[in-house]
Amino acid sequence: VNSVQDRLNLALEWIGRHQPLFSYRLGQSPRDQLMLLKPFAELLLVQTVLVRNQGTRLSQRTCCEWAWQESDRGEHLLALLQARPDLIELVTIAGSFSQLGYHNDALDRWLRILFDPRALPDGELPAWRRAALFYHLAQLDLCPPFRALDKDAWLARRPDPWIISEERLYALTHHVFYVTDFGVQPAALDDDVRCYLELWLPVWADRTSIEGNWDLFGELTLTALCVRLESSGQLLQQLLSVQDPDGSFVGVPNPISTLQQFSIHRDEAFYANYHPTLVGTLALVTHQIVCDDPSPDVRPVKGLVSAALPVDGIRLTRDRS
Amino acid sequence: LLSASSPEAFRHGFYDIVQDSHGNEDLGAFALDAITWWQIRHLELPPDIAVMLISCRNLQSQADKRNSALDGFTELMLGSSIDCETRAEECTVRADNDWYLSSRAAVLGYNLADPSSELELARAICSALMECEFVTAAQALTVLLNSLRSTPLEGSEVARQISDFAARGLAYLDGIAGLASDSWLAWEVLLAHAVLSERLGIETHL
Repeated sequence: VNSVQDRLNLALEWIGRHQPLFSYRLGQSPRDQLMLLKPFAELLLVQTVLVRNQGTRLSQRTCCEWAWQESDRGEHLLALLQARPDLIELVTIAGSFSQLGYHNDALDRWLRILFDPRALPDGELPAWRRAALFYHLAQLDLCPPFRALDKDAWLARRPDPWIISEERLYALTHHVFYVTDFGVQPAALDDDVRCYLELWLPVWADRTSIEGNWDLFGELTLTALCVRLESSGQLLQQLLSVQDPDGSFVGVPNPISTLQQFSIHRDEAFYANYHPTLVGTLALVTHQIVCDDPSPDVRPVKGLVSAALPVDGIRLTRDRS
Repeated sequence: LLSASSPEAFRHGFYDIVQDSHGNEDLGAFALDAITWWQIRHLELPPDIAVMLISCRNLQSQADKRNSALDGFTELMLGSSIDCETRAEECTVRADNDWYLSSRAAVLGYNLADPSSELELARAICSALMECEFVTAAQALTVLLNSLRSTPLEGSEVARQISDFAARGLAYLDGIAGLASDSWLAWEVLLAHAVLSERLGIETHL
């Protein structure tokens, strides 16, 4: 298995084989089902990126259709949001379905009432989760598209790079995903932000790999790809080195995954590896998308020596100039 | 020694220290640091001092091979007249099976591939700070500041951010040194201050 496309296919095969385990219906009680919405929502989010790539667009239709049926064509989601209108995170699932072309009229009407901009309960959310919320609301046409960092975000303030923590790194990466629309709009980040990432993200990734947290390493690789960093090729190469022959990616060492306790299918390996595998898949497909559309409006960060590395023969192209 | 006003005064002071340093590792290390500082100030090492440096290093090698190897890296970064490749090879060999040396050499050696790359050096400092390897960070910061002084980066965003990073890093290490009561770290931070002062063209407060 040599090419990025082959590796991507391998990861997708793993996801396909484990598709039933992504179901939230494996939870026996409504509470358990709520907990299991996390892998379900994350799988859907990955699908929204996979359909942007010509090589995976059609093959993923089966998975999307399965997810839509699992949600009882949106009816189950509507019931959840009626019972728990405080769970604004559920908008991520509705937003993903909308982007994938699945709509439920009653659900859409309820969402319009629930997410009236004047009554949006977003004030207490961390910056990255606010970004996620508005990203998905925009997919539902419930707010205009946004392309700016929250003023409280790490990247907006850019503190000393050595005081960052694992938790903040996760937040930072997700903020980048939503602001750049998973790499579609790399120029949404200002030059000084991109420069900050260009300088320090390789260090954070290095520390993360030494600690064996390949889940976070995958998130950082995806971030580098979304922003078109010079280091992205090298990071992807490193990420590929930890892909299992079965297509999955390993996660954090000694994971304390608690999700399996909510599922009737207590597959510890699945719940430990599904997230890094989804992240690895996103990184691989984003690489393919970037290669197809090198986004000429993104200028290289001035003052850096070009260090773009070929990945399995495919050179990451930063601009056409 | 640091206040030596001429190469001759420096030589005298240096000889005194070398003579006193027999069997005293700390004095030997101090002498080497003084030479580093001298190099930073004058960029070029007088030939006879370079010879003395080798003697001093050999002397120190017997007491502490790790420090000797590390100073080889520093020397390499500063572009001294010593055979850099030989020193680098020596350092690499000695770094084997020595986690302490490996970690510090890795940081200092970060820059080996491209000695002009302030970017890589800044990343190495950041990594050392994240690892709480403060002495290493201070040593590398001295090299970075010296590099910025001799070959200033162009007025790009990268240059601005690296320059800010160096200043913030030094302030941070200042604080750590003050809290840690670590004389070695304090010394390394002082060296960095000396370079920064020179880079900014102001009197050092050493």
